[in-house]
Amino acid sequence: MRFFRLTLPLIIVFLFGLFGLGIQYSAHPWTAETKETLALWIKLIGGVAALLGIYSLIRLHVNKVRRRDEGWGYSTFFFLGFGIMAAALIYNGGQWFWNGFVQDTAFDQLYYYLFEAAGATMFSLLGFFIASAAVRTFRARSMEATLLLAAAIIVMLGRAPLGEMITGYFPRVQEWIMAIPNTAAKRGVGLGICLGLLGMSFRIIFGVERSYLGGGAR
Amino acid sequence: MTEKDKNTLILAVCVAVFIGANIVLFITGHFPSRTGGVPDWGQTLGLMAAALMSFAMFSFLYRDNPIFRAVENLFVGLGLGVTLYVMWYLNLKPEVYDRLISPMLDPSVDVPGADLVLIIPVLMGVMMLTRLSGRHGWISRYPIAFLVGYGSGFSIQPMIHSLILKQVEKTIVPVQMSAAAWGLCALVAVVAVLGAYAASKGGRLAVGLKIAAAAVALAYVIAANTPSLNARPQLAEAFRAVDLLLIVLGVLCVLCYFFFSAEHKGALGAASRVGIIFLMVAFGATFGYTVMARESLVIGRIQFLLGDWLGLL
Amino acid sequence: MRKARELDVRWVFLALAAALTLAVRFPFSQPITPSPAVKAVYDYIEALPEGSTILIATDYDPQARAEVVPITQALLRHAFSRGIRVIGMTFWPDGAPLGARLFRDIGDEYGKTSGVDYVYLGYKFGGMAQVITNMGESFTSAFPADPEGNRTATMPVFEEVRNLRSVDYLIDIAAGETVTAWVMYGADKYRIPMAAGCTAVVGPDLYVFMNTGQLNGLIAGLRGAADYEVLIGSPDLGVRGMPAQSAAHGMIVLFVIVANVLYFRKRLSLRSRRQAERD
Repeated sequence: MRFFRLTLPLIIVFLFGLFGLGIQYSAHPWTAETKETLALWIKLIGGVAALLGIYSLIRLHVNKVRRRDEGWGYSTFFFLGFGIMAAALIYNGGQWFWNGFVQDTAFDQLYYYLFEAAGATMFSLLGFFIASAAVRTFRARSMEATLLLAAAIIVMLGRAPLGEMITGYFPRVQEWIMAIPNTAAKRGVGLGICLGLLGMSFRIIFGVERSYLGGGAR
Repeated sequence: MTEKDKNTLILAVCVAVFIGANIVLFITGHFPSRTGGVPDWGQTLGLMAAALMSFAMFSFLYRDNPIFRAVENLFVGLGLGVTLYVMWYLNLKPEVYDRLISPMLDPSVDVPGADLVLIIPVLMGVMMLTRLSGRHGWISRYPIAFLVGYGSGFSIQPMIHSLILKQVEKTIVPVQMSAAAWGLCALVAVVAVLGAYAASKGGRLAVGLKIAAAAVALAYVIAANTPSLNARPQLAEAFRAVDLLLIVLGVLCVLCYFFFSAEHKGALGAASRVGIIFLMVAFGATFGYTVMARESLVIGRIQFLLGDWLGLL
Repeated sequence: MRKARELDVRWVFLALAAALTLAVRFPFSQPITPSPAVKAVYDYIEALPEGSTILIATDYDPQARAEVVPITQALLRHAFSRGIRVIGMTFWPDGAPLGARLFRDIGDEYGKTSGVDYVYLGYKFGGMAQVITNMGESFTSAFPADPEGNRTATMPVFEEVRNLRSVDYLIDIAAGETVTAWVMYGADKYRIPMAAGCTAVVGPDLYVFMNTGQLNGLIAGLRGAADYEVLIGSPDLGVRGMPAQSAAHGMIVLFVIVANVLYFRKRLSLRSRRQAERD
C-alpha cells in the first residue's frame, strides 16, 4: 500500500519533472501540441480543485456557528455576503447560470459598490499605519539606519511633485538611486533567491522535498 | 460616563451624521438620476452602501469594533462569491459544461473525441477533492504529483535564462574607460576602502573617515545627476562607467553578505559591509515607494468619498 | 522621544486624513515631469502603427485600484485613440470583473466594440506558466470564450493575432509578483517587447528588468499614472491625486525629521548629563 500512497506519486513527480524540463529544449511540433494539451489539463484540474477553497471556507464558518465559537455572530455576515452573491450569479439577470454571464446585473452592482469599496478601504488603512510607524519608529540610530532614512526621504520627495518644486535634484537623484544601488541590491538578492528556488525544484523532482504531498509523506 | 456608554454615544452620533448626510444629499439631488428626474435607485443606494462600507472600515482607525468586524466578514463572503463567479463563468462553464456536459445533454450534438479526453483532467480535479477525506486523502497525491512535478521541471529553464543568465549578462558589461572614468573609479575605490575600514574600526578617526566617505559619495551622486555636467560627453561617459561598476560592486558585495558558509571577516567581511550599504539604500528606496503606494490608496478612497459620494470634486 | 512614543497614534491618523482631504478638495498646481521610464512606454505605443495589437494584463484586484486603475485607464485611452487593438486578461481572479468593467467603460468612451477592437478574456485557473504557455500557442485555445460566453474563435480581434507571439506589445499592470512570470514565460520566451505598470510597492523590484532591457518601460504607482496622463494630454485620477501625494509625503518627511531632531537632542542631553555625573 505504501507503493501507491507514496512511491508511485514520487515516481510521477520525477517523470513529469524531467519531462517538463526536457520539453523546453525540443523544437519538435509534437512538443508544442503537448505543452498546449498539458496546459489545458492543468487549467481544468485547477478549476475543479477551486471547489476545495470554497468548501473549506464555508466549512470553517459553519463550524464556527455550530460550536458557538467566539465571534460566531460575525459569520452570519459572511453567509449574507456569500449568499447574495451566489443568488445574483445563479439568477444571472434572468438568464440563469447555464447561459453566458450577463453584464450590469446585481452581481456587478454588489461587486462595485460593496466588494470594491470594502476591499479598497481595507487596504487604505495601511496608509495610516505606515505613516504612524514612520513617525514613531524611524530613527537614525546607526549608520545603516541613517542610510535607510536618507534614501527613503530622497525617494519620497523625488516621487512626489513636491520634490521637484523644492529642487530638480530630488527626482533625478531618486531615479539614480532606483537605477544603481537599488538595482544592484535587488539583483544580488534576486540571484540568491533564484538559486534557492532552483535547488528547491531539483529537490522536489528527486523526491528529497515531499512536504507538498501532505501528511505521512516521510 | 463609562467606556461603553462613550463608545455607544460616538457610534450613535456617527450613524446619525451619516444618515443625515445621505438625506441632505438625496434631497439636494446630488445622487445620480435617470431622465425625467427619477432617482436612479440602484446607483443611489449603491453609493450610500459604498460610503457605509468605507466608513465602517475606517472605523478601525479609532478602535476595533463590531461594525468593522461585521463588514470585514461581509467582505470575505462577497469575495467568496467572486471566486464562485470566476470558477463557474470563467472556467468550468466554457471549459467543461459547454464542451462536455451541454453536448451530452443534447443528443443531436456529437462530442468530438478530442473533447471527451477532457474527462481525464476533470477526474483528476475530482481526485484533488479527496484531500478533504482523512482516509482517502492519499488519492489527491496523484494530481498533486503531476502538477508539482511538471510545474517544477517546467520552471527551471525560464528561471535560469531570465533570472540568472540575463541578469548576470547585464551585470558584467564592457565599459568604456576614459581618463575621467579612471579618475572617478579611483575615487570611488578609495571611498569604498576607507568606508569599509572605518566601519570595522571604532574611535574618532573612524567617525571622521565615515563622514568623509559619505561626503565624497554624496558629491558624486549630485555631480552624476547635474544636467550641466552630464552635457559634457566625457564626463557623462565617465559617470555611466562608474555607475556600471557600482552595479557590479553592489551585486558582488550583496552576494557576499548572503554567503553564510564562511565567517564574515577579512575581505569577505569588508565586502559584506559594503553589501549592507547597498541593501540599506535599496530598503530605504523600497520604503519610500511603499509609503507612496499606501498613501495613494488613502487618496483613492478620499477621492471616492468627496467626489462620487459627496459630489464636492 | 518619550513624547513621540506616548503620542496617541490616532492624532497622526487625524492629521494625515485632514491633510489629504484638504489637498484633494483644494488641489494646487505643481509641475509633473514624466520620468524616462514612463516616457519609454508612451513612445513605444505612440510609434505602433494603427491596427497593431497589444496585450494588457490587469493583474490586480480592487484592493489596489487607487494606483492601478488610473494606469489602466490611461493606457487604454492611449491605445484606443491610436486605433490599436487591445486584448485583456488577468491572473488575479478577484480582479476579473474590475478589468472587464474598465475595458468596457473606456471602450464605450471611444466607441469601440468588444470582439472587434478589444476583448477582455478574464481569468483562468492553472497557474501563470501554463496559461501564458497556452496563450503562446493559441489565444482561442487558452480562452475558448470571453466571460459573456462569446466564442473567441470567431472574433475579428483574433483574426491576425492568433497567439502571444503575434502581439506587438505586452504590458502587465501588476499589484503583485506577476511581472516576473510574464518576463520568464512570455516576453523572454516569445521575444515580445514588454513594459509593466505596477503599484509602487512592486516598483523597486522591477528596476532589475529595466536594467537588462527585459522591460522597456515602467509605470509605477499613482505618480506613474499621472506622468502618463500628462503625456497623453488627458489628466484624470493620477494628476488629480498628486497634490494629496505631495501633502502626504511632505507631512511624513516633516514628522520624521522633527522626531529625529528631538531624538538627537535627547541623546545629546543624556550624554552631557552622564558626562557631568562622571565629572
